[in-house]
Amino acid sequence: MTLVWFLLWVVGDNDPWIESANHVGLKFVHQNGMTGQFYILEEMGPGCALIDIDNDGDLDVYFVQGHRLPGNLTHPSSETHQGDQLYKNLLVETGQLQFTNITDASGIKAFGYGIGVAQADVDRDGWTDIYTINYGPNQLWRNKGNGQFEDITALSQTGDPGFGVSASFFDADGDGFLDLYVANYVQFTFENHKICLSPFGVQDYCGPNSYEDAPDVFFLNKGQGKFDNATKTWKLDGQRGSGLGVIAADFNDDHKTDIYVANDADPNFLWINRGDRFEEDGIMAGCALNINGATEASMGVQAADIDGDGDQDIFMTHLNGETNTLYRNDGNGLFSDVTLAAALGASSLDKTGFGTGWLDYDNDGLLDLFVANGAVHILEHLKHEPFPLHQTNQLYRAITPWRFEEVTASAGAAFKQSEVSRGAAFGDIDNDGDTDILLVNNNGPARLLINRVGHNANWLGIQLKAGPSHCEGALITVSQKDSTMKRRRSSTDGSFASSNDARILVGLGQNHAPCQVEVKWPNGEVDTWSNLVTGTYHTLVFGKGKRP
Amino acid sequence: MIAFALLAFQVPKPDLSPLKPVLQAHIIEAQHAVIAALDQATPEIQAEAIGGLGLIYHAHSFRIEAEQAYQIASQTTPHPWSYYLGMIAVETGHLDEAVGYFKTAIESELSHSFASVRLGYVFLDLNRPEDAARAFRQAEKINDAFTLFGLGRAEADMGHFDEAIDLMSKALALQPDATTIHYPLGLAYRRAGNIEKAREHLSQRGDIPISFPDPFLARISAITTTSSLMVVVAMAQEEPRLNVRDFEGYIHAHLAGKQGTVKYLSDAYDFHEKKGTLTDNARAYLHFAMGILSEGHRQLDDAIEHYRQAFRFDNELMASLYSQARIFAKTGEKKREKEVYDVILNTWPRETDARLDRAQVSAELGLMESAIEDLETLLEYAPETHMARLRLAQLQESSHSEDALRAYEQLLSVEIPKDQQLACLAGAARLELRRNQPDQAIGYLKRAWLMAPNDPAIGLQLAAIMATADRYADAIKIYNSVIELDDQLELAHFGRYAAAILLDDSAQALSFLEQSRKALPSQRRLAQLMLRFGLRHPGSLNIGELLALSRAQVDTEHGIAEEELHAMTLALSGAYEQAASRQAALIDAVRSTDDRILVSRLYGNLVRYQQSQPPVVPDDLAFLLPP
Repeated sequence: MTLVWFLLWVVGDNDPWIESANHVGLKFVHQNGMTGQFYILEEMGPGCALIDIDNDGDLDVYFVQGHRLPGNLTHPSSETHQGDQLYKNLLVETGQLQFTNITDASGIKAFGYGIGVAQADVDRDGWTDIYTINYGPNQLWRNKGNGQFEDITALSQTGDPGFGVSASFFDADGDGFLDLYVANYVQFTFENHKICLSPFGVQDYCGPNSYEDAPDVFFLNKGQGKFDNATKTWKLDGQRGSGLGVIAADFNDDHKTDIYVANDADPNFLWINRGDRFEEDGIMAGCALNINGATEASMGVQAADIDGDGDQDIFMTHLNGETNTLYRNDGNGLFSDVTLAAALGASSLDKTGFGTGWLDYDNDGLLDLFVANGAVHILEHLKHEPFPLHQTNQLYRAITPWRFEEVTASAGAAFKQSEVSRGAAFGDIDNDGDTDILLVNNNGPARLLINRVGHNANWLGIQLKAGPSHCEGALITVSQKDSTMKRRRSSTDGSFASSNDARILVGLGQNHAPCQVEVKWPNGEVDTWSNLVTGTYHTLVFGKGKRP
Repeated sequence: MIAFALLAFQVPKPDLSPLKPVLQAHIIEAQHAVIAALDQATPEIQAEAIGGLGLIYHAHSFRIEAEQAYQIASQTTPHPWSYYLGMIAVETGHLDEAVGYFKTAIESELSHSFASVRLGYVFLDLNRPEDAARAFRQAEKINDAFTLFGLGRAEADMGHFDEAIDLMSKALALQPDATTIHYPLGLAYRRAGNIEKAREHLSQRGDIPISFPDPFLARISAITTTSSLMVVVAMAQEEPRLNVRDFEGYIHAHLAGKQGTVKYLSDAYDFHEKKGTLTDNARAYLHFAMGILSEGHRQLDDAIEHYRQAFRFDNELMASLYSQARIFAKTGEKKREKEVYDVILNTWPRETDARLDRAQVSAELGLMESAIEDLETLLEYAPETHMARLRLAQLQESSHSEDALRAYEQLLSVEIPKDQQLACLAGAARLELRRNQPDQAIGYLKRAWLMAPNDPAIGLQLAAIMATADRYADAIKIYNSVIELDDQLELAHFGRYAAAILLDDSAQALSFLEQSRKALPSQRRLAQLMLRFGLRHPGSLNIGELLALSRAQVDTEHGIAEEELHAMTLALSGAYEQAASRQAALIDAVRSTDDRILVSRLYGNLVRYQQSQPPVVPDDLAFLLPP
């Protein structure tokens, strides 16, 4: 660790964030496969994931890869396609943040045109499985627990062939098994590819309105790695949108997990879970459109209880010319657009946002915000460049729970890079108690933004361990003497086409008092732990806490 | 004076390089004028000069320099520069600063009312509804839609939904076309628990904003328009030839709908012509620009003349020909539209769009052979033009129905866009129906319905054919699905009712009619449908009754649909001359609308009436046609 930090110090001076992907061995470069045809497909990916695949206590990395287009979409192979890449973190074994590529050894052969990735323990064997979302059939990779994965797509019947982008695992029917929602984008094929022009008359990427919306799909987990396509029976087939982002959470406090889908240039969906079906309520709930009643080009999405009032608020990234949008939940599943009041409007107007996440990067107890940017239409001032879509990313610090200031300018050289960023995954990759950011760029190198300020404040780390209930959607309340209560939700979904650290990090500022933690599991049961010391991770096991 | 002399060195100067050279020169000239004024005039005039420069910067989005200029000006005269500083702060997201500026503007009596309203909106954005309501109420008059709407939003944010609904409804009554009001009004109804009204307003939401004539912002808007016009003139004078799309896009983006722009361009044209600086290229593009703007203002004769002139000065400017064709299509002048395509194809014989469009117009003019010849020619040099194959099949439905059916089947076996696939399925269904094979027709439409389950139009067709095939119970099921998709479709409501009548299930029919009356906001359409049903089933209403009903509709509603239906009824009764006369008057009345389909349908039926032929009824009426 010392050597790594020394190197980082030399390279990054005193910057609060430092980019270190190459230094730690994450030498992944995304290929979007562009050939000058401006296929809409090219500009969508990729995503990435932070997953502890070997349960050794540190985060491994999964990158989604594209390939030259059109390529062999029916029978993709390693001969022509590099495929997705899996890197193992050697932090626990060596004490140094260093990665090694274990794709071949893992048995993962994901050679499709990858867009996104999701993670979940779908068969409840204690090992995290991986779901890759492609243009073309998706794949489900079962983690065998010995460092190897097997393709159980056929068994699971989850190989949806649409233009998938993001997916979310959650328990819709309360049976303890994680079901799966896949957000599909549009019905693009190389045959129906359209030519679009920019306002200044050169060929440009088409928007989603040039194609039919693609239907999203919902799979019900029947156990033992088998799923049923339940899109129709759960009444999710009535509406279509250009889905890009998806999150699952209980938005109306009825103890059932709902789904929120960010649709590009269509109203967003809020699918309310009625126990045996979903009902779409986005427009009526005030979270399908912006404050002016207009649709926006929704890309990335994330939910969190920003103000600690016990409900999930929603943040979404959008196209340049539109602001990003923050919806406040009133606790009953009705939302208000509070973007401008939160000071998140003007600064996002000239950016096209994709990956995003709430992270308390300075561990002061308030959730801050990161937005990965990169345009989808040629930017006029860059029109003479070969790939004129690049933009800088943004970091916002919470001043109060509902008021933010942009701190990009003071975030260091890592935030001055102008690239075509897409997916972003959030997690404590060096286990130092603060949140780092894994970032992937379209047709460019991956970036790892190491947080160098968070560990200056106190923190509490929580790793949930499932029993009869799984952990996705568990609500965690952290109480500490002389501090306000902090509420977090356990999840790996959200952002854009990416998957996040399953652990929960809670910033505590300078308060070092021991914590009381209440975990409300998705099945409604509650465990409480007292006197947890701060500055370390705790594994909290279902049923092992104090029961009321 | 001394202070301002020093400030001459502080006149903000943005980097003008992103602007077109003509604007750079214009702004530099303005900067020099300001510096000269700072040296000589009274403090008030100096403030006006530097503030005015701020307006120019503001109009060109140099917000930092505009703010600096306003700051300097406001030191001497707060009015109106504090107001503009407030607007800059809003645009850059500095809402707290905007509050301060608007408060200062309120203190200066001159901009009190406008600043109060702006302040109210800033407080809304800051999620301070109590302060917002106070600010709106401070405005001199709160009876304009913009202020009432803002106050309504403030009340909604405070949880006073009844008050919010009242205020926003008043705003909507003042500006019924401001569709942006519907969304927050719908949400207020939802929060007040009135789900039905919420649905009603949310379904009417749109993006037409509330107009608020703000004289302060009008100054900036005027500068923007003038600058854009200067750019257009400069672009027209550029060599070599312009990118037409770029030029057209610029005009639409910056000048569409602005008053006085044609005159400005015309004056500029004369000015440069007198100076002898106009090339033919410039003449062509200035006429082209004036054509676009005239067309936007619905001065269609002027537009045609400008487009003609544009082509006279540049006989490569194909866009000016397409523009003429577009206008003739709008006005229903099919022959003239066709003549324009003739010119295009004489010069560019392989111009696909023109040939496709000429075929369409020829067909509408009854020149089937020409239409078919065009499509066949097109398919010879561009065999992959599936749209041409589709249109050819559509044209051959009557004369070569087997060929047409084969063509539809062939097209359905290749990758074509979904809308074309649906057209093929609909065409094949029509042919099968004509061959008295309703089951086959239903099969095609079922495929279409599977492909587009959310498209009520296809469901309507399927239900109509099922009803035609006497499968009334099946038709009712499909109508039910259609109504689930869109419960405002009168035709589906009435079709369901009619199918129940034909099924001899009068109890169900009555129940359907009751449901329809509840669902449909207006009974007018039901009456129309009664008339249409009469057309389909002369047994239910004789032709005399039909005429009486349609005449009553015309007398009471004065709508296009009623007039069209009345003309159809007249034609069906054999009164072709009267039908043609009414139809011609109707075409005159709607000629200036943008509804090309309507004009084309009306024109087609006019020709039929003139030839003593019964009307062609559009697809949505197919079910109601006499057999």
